Amino acid sequence: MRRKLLLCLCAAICFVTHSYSQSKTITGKVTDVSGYPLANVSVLIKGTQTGTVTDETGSFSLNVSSANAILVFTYSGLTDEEVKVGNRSIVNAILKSDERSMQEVIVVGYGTQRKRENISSISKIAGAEVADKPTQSFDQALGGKAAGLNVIQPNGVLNNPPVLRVRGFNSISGSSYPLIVVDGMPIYAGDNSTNSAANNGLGDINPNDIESISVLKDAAATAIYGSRAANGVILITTKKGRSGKAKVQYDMWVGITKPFNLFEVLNAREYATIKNEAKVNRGQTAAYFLDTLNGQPVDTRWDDYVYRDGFQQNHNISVSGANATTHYYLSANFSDQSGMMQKNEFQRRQTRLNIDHKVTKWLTIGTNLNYSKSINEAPNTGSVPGQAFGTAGAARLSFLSSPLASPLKADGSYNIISPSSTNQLGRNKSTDQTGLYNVKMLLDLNTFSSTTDRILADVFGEIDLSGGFRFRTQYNNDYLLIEDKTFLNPFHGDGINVAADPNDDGRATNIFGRFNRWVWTNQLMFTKVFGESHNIDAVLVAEQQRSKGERWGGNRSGVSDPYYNEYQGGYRLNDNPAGNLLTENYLLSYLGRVNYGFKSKYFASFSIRRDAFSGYAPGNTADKWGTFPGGGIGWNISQENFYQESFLANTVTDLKIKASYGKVGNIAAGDFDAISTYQSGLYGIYSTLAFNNAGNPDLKWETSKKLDVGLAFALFKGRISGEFNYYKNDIDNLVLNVPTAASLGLPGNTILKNVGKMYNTGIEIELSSTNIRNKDFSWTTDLNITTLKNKVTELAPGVNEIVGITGGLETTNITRVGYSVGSIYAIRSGGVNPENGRRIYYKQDGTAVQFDLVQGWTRLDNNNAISAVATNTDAVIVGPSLPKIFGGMQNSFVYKNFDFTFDITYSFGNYLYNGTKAGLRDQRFWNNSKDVLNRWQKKDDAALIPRVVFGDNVSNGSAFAITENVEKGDFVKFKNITLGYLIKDSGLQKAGISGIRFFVQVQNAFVITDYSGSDPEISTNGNANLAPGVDRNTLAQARTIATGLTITF
Amino acid sequence: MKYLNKFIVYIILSIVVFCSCNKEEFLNPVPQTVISEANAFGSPERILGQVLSMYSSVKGGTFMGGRYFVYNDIRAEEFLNVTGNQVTGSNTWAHLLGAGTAEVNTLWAQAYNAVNRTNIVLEGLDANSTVISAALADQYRAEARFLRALTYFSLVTLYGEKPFNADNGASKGLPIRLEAETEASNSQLARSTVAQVYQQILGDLEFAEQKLPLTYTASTSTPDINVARAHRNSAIAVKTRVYLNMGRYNDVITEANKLVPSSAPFQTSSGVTHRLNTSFTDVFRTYLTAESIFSLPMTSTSGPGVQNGLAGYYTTEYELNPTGIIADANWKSADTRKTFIVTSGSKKWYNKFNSDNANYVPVIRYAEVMLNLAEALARTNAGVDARAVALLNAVRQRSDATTTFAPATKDELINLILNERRIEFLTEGLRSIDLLRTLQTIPAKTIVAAIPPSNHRYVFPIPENELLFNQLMIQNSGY
Repeated sequence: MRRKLLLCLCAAICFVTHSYSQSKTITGKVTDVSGYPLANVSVLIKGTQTGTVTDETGSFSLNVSSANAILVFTYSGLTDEEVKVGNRSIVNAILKSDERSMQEVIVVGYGTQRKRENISSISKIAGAEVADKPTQSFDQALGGKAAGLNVIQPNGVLNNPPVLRVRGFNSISGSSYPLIVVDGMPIYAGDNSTNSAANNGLGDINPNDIESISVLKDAAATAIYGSRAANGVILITTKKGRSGKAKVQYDMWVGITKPFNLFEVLNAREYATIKNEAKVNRGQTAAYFLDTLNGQPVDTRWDDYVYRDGFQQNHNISVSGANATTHYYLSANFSDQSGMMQKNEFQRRQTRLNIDHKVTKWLTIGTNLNYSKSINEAPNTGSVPGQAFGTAGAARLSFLSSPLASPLKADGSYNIISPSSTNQLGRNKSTDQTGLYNVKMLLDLNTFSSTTDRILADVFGEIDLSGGFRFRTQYNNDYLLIEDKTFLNPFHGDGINVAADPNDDGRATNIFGRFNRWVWTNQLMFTKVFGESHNIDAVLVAEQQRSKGERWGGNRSGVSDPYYNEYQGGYRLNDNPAGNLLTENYLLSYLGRVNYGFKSKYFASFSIRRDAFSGYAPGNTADKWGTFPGGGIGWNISQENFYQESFLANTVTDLKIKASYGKVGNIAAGDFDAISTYQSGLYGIYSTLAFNNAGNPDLKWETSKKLDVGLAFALFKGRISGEFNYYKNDIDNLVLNVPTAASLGLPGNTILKNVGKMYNTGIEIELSSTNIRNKDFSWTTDLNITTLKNKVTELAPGVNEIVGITGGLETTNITRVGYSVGSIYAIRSGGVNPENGRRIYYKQDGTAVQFDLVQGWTRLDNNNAISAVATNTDAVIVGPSLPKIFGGMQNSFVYKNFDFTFDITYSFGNYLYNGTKAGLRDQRFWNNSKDVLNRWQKKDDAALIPRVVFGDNVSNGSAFAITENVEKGDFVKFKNITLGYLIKDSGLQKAGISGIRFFVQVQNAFVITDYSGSDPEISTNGNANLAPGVDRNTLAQARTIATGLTITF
Repeated sequence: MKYLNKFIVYIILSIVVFCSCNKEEFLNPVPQTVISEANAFGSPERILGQVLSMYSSVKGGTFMGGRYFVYNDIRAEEFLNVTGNQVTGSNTWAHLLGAGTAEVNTLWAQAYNAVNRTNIVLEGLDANSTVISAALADQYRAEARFLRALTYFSLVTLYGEKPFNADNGASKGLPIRLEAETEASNSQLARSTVAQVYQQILGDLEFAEQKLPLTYTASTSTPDINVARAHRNSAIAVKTRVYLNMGRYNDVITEANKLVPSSAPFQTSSGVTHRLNTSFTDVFRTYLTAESIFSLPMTSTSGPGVQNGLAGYYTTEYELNPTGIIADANWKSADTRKTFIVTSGSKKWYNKFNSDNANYVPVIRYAEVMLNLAEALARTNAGVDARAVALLNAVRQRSDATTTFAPATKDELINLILNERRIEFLTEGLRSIDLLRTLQTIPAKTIVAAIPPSNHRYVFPIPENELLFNQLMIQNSGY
């Protein structure tokens, strides 16, 4: 009996245990964050080799023997998930991709690498960070996303290329702009337009097509790009299809964009008061009077005619998928954006096909094809580099034109002075000048457009030779056709040349450019693990790049009939051709890299590149070569046994120290600058041939020796991770115009030579933290901080400084040995003398002087006459235009189906020259900002604005830059705030829709700053090295509110 | 089979990796829009192009194409500044120049750019002697040296520390550049004395006189060739101007006699025909009269440049000084030279030049040779030189038939001649040269004080684009 009971008990126990230890079948589904099912996800029982993979619906089925079993889900490119089975029989998992993971793969030059093994300084930005943002190009969304990368949106003109700098200024005469590589091809970037319609080459790339962006910063990462790497390299990789059933996604957003922070200017009554007071102070009679138009008082708010609410929309559809042999990704994009200035439009139509196919076990072929057409239209905004003082600049006209003048007359015609050849805004009841051009007439009748048709294509073949060798050949091509059209009307504005023949009024200019670049890369790759501990990853590359550009166009003037507004219409005069360009260059390169890792603990990397550039050493091929080596070492301390036994191991789960050093270059010369050439010209009716360029056959690369020392860490198993880097870039052989004595008679009196030196140094901190993560709520923060110090140590012999000029007219910056490039440079001004309302200035030696338009320059102490101040004798360096600290922070919250992110960018320590403020206080007929109402009027007034005297363009800083208008540019900007909601309904899923996400976002939400201009994120001179940090008559920034959705099928 | 596949693969690899693909040609692209140094003298057309480029550099709007003439007139007393615009010479007018002033720098730079082109041509002709005939090469050399002399003369009369006549040329002159410069190495060169500069000028003009052609053959494609390019008579004419400036009156007479007969009709007897044109105004509206010895051609595609042309200055920037030469009672209202005076409100303007892109700029014309000769005769003859009076009257009566001069004394004759020059050459850039060679004080005008020869502002300062980079250069004392 007892035996039977024991047996029963055993059986019962056995049965019970068996019911646990017996393989319980667990099923489940693995998806990504948008609800999309993931195929080929590896599902392993932790600690065993037992597992399976998910099928194309993301489902799996696995036998599990214990309730304590933990399932580990791994998928290349996404974070591993571990889920305890417990009592459940259905276990689902959501795999997320985030930068926290050390297992993550990053794209490096000519290959990829796991983040854990990387010892160079590379920041990765996910494609999702730049997708679906209300911008025209992806680079506008990069601000604050990577340490060391400073992005400045120069103003609100659509598709105006942002300023991009990686670790400071890297050149003076050349470009500081990084190399942009898309799918292995260095592409044409920058403003491709020759007229007012800005045309950023990067706007031809659809941000939704981008999978990831890598910013390469130090020598170990960039040396592989050798002679073009001194400014850093930005690698863009476009999407490939992922395994599983075809994924179809439709993204769209619509938005309204408005100008952000416009100036408050005087109204009609205030304007008349101020200007008449100024007239009287000048000894003239009042000249400004109110008017009525059709019964209404004339009080023109010119902003209403220049700015508007722009409607924007963007639609994107993509189909992608993969099976065992083929990956494909097809997308199409239509974007139609109206800017916040009248007549500013951007339209892009684009399509892309990325396909690769494994033909046999050892051969894979593929192609990436992208066609974009972008149409950029803009008025003359006065806001692209060089335009700051253009009479027709709409941004300046909007705050300069008098409110006493109306844009139209009572009969509806445009309000301009008669005769129209005077070319000036009408005066209504006033008797003196009220404005320059009638900006409404210009916006209505003048047109500027720049249209690009672009094909970016590559084909490749990859052969898997056995033994760890692979060979890949890839041919890339970037082909652009750009047409720029300008039409200036014959009635008013720049189309009329007052001093010349009235028969040439009205002008059309068409310029057509064709640019083609091909790159052919052959690389041999070797990857092997020797003896289980030695990892070798090597690559050997032979590459050629050829670029050809040609451009031509025509100018016609003297419109025969006011109806014509196209180049092909009727004109009286055919003038000189426009936009002529015919040039080519070639780059031949051999390079190699070896990455060595020992037991995932010790790493070393070495790369070397030899480049020959056609533009150097004319006729002497042997001297065209440059060698650019770079390398680094790293130590993964956290993998060491002694570390894993220490007390730190549980908190600091990953710790790696690394260092790198190398030499890279920058091509800072044109294609033919090294050659001495003779150019054709005219002497009356005869052809001449004249020496026009003193070439330097010894011209070569600017070199940048980059040192980087860093520490990468992860705390609490990756809950917090980050990197700390110290960098120093020593740049020498800067290409500069070395001046020669004028009596030598060289063309331009200068010759290009490699003579200058400067350095950039600072630290970068990148932190990622998962602050909270539980079932329903998560909060992650990414923070980056970069400090920067730039100093010029040598310029051309005999030259101690180079001035930077804005708009061809105003000296605003100086690059001087011992200071930062492009430092802000202005004459010291004091406040207003309460005795007489005159502005106080300081000469170089500190003498205080004051200015009055009629009395001239007098000493402050005794009112004796004294010579005028001048920029070249009395200006001082106020401070650097480069920020001392900059960076960004992204916070991301997820609560159930809601997600909320806000992105902040910040910048501290730089100075800005607020030249616009000088214009806003100018005492010619110009309208002023409201602060002019607090002008000095009588003795002992404690005013900040001097006595208003009509015609005074000196006291407030128009004639030359004064420190009154130099301000600190510190700011914290809430760049983007997004709120989203994801719907994943089983009903929808039956209809084939795996998820819909709605979102609302604000771009350029608000700024915390003391800067008095429209936005401290500004650059009138674009990417200029010599004149950065200037705000002169530039368009405001735009704030865009958009709402959209993403539907995933 | 597997080995065959691999073999094929390796072959493909080798081909692909070592494909030559015209690398040499790609690495050495030839610019398509300009001509490289090696080929610049390779053909007769190219050499002619180089020769003409010397002229075009002299013609530059910042030099003789406009501003040089303007500065020489506005610094004197005939004009008042209306706009006060520093871009259009207000500092020159008011004698407020410094080493950093824009016009001081750009004029110097453009002039030496012209000198360098002449030196490049001279060197290129020597190095490429087989491309053209020896005779043609000599002619081109003569043209180069003519232009070099003209340029150095223009510079030394403005930048030399003192006029030649002040100390016989002992003061600091110019750095004399005689080598072709295509690299940066030779910036350092000290100033030669004014006398040495004149010696170089005369040497160049002597050679030019010997080797320039007597005349060019004009054709429909080269209608202005005898006006726009230097010929033998051009060199002689400039010599008269140079000798007059040096006070070498006998040499003026010797040279001028080659161009001016002993009595009327006054006309050259050899080389290009030159004489006074019957109509004064036509000289400045048709440009190709026999009076023009050397002028710089302007067209709509080859003009002086914005704000450089003479027409613009004298129609909007500088009005006639009411106390200047227009106040001369003896300059009668019927004088055809007064037809250029335009009255606008209270201002009078002198419209000798009316279109920047059409007017030819007169560098030297027959009337000047006549007056140079007249002055030289007047100064060397103890009494009143009859031939000088005849020349003076010929020039006056071309414009004003009612006036005949009959000066009683030598001094009166000289003053009449100097006065006639003021009227005849108004806006042609000779006033400052005339004041400085006679060591007269530059008269005051409205708010600008008079500048005597002892004042350092009597001449231009050396520009800083020279001083900063040529350590052997010394500034004119006082600046």
